[in-house]
Amino acid sequence: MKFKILLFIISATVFTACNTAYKSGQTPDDVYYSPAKVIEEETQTETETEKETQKEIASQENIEDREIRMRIRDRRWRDMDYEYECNCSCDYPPYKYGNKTGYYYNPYYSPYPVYMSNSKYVLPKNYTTRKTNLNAYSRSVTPVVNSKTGKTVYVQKENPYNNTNQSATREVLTPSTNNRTYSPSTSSSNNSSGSGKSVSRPVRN
Amino acid sequence: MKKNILFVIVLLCLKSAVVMAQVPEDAIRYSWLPHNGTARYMAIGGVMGSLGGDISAAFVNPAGLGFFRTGEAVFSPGFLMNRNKTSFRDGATSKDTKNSFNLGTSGWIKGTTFKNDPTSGNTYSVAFNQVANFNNVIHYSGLNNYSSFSEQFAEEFSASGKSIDEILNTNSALPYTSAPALYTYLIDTVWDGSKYIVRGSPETILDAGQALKQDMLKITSGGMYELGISLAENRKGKWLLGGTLGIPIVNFKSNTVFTESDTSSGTANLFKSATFTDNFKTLGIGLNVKLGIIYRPEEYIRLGFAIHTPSIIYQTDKRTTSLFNAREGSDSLREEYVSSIQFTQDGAGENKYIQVTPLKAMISASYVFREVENVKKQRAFISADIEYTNHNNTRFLVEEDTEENAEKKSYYKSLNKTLKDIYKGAFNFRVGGELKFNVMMARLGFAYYTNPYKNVSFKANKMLLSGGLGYRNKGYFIDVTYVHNMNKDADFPYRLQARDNTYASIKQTQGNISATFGVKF
Repeated sequence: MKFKILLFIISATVFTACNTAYKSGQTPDDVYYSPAKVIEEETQTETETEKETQKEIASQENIEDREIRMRIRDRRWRDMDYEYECNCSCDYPPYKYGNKTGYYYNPYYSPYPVYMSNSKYVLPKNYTTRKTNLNAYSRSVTPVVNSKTGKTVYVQKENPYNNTNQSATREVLTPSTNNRTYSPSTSSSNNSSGSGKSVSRPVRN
Repeated sequence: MKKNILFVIVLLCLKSAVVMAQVPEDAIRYSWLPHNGTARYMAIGGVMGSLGGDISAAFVNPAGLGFFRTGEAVFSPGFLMNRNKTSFRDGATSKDTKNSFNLGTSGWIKGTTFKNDPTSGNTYSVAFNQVANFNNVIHYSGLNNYSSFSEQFAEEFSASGKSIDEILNTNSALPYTSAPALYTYLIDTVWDGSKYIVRGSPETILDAGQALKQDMLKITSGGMYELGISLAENRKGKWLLGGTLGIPIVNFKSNTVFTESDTSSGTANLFKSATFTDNFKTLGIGLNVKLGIIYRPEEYIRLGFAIHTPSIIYQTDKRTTSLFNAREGSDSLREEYVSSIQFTQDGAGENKYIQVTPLKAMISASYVFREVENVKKQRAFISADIEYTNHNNTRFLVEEDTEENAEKKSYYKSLNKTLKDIYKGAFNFRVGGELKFNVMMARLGFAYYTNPYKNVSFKANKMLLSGGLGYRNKGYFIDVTYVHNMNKDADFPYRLQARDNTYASIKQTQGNISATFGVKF
């Protein structure tokens, strides 16, 4: 919802910021006919764009001029851009407090850099996919093999669903239809299982 | 422009080598969608395959953008009102409502004219659209003397070939379903005299000839959005070509609570009630391309053809479930509760995959009365689209084809085959028109989306009736529309392999009020 509100605000802002060029005269309807753009307007737009670009260049020049003036007046500003940059070829600059590498160098107590790790141990995530019994989706059809082509086609069963309690007869599952045998395979393995710890069930009464 | 289109096609071909999903219902969620766009487009029934001249064309037939030689910015807020009537088995009909904000096509468009040929030009556009609104609530309940929802867990656990210890594990292979069911003793192994079988404890009640009360509450939220960057070319007003590079964004949340309870007076039949909650959210981002062409054999006739490539969406699901089971023992009532977090390393389970939506193609024709510059002489238009989507072409793929993902890959292969078996190609029809009176406009539209399911006895379709008004003057325009959707669908609370399945019939009525504010420049 926040995402949608943000979109509303952005869209409304863009919309209200636009100025129309058709305040007088007819407003074109592009479904029926779209008139060509007036050339003068494009020229004017180009001029405005050029002005904006010149302003930006002038602004940048002002900043550079100011820096030069500051360096002339006070020598402390002369090296301000390079004071903390590592342009040397050394592996451990003396004042570089390990910012990205994780190494911390303390020049007063130890001559060697030490590694400070901020990482914490996190349990690996379980990436099991959201599954369903796909065989359940084919219950409403019966496979029939075409004797001529040899291809299997699926024919809709006459009454494949049970949606009433009136005529329901719950079948007793026979060994041939019972697909719920508990027969774990000792060789079964799964990428998502086996690496975890056992979870004990509550005691059954 | 040709180079741009070629680049997009090559990019798509490269990407299509790595596509992968989940359960079959995930497929139809992103392919069987009614249209959404500006208020004008919605009012005329979503016809835009050949009409053009509206920013919605970016998401239907981008060639239609080529009609623009002006510029405009549009903003299209909306409000969606859902009303569901659901009937389940012999129970009473349930009625539920859920309202939410909607966003139609909003964005910026700019047309240009070639200096050496004023009848030709290019058009550029950046637009955003809400492709689907998932905000909905479905609630139904009824008695069931035939099957129990616990049987789906029993079937799954038995078919897995795994032992109880393998499932009851902090990194379980079936952490959301069988693991909570085994932990709370909703399912367990029993000796039938010759072997161990897996049974759900509510089955004892069904086998005694009594019924279970079942109650389902499903709340969904979020949406599917798309950012479209478009380019179109108008060649002497005769041929128009266009393409959109679409970036679909998915944000879907589902919260489901299913309760099953004993209706008998017995106090020692092993089961009293169970409540299963299932929360998951999907976030995704992808890529697609829409290409179109419009031909004008005469000034007032427009013929269009468009093709939408499959969207390749990189999705991430996060899921947690929980199960509460109250079971009747020989001398006391025991209550057990567990969350799937116990079986997914103490955090929500996560799955990354690739989903590819089906290709879409459409043909269209329009008749525009008086294509003249003078707005006062513009009269009307009528247009119709026929669209085809092969819903069974949705594909789910693993994100990385590694040895670790071998089991997922195998599941997705079976899932893709199931999609082929249960869904089919479907046609969608749209027709609409407008009457224009100087600065005012009146519109009507109709759209029909046919059944995407193969071999089913239940009804599923979407029908949309729409009407709207528009006002365009002094460089601004405003359109308002009301769309009345009537949808039929079915919802399966669970699926069983060994028994006939049961479903709830859903009649959904949606009222969609939308408006578009626009400025010409």
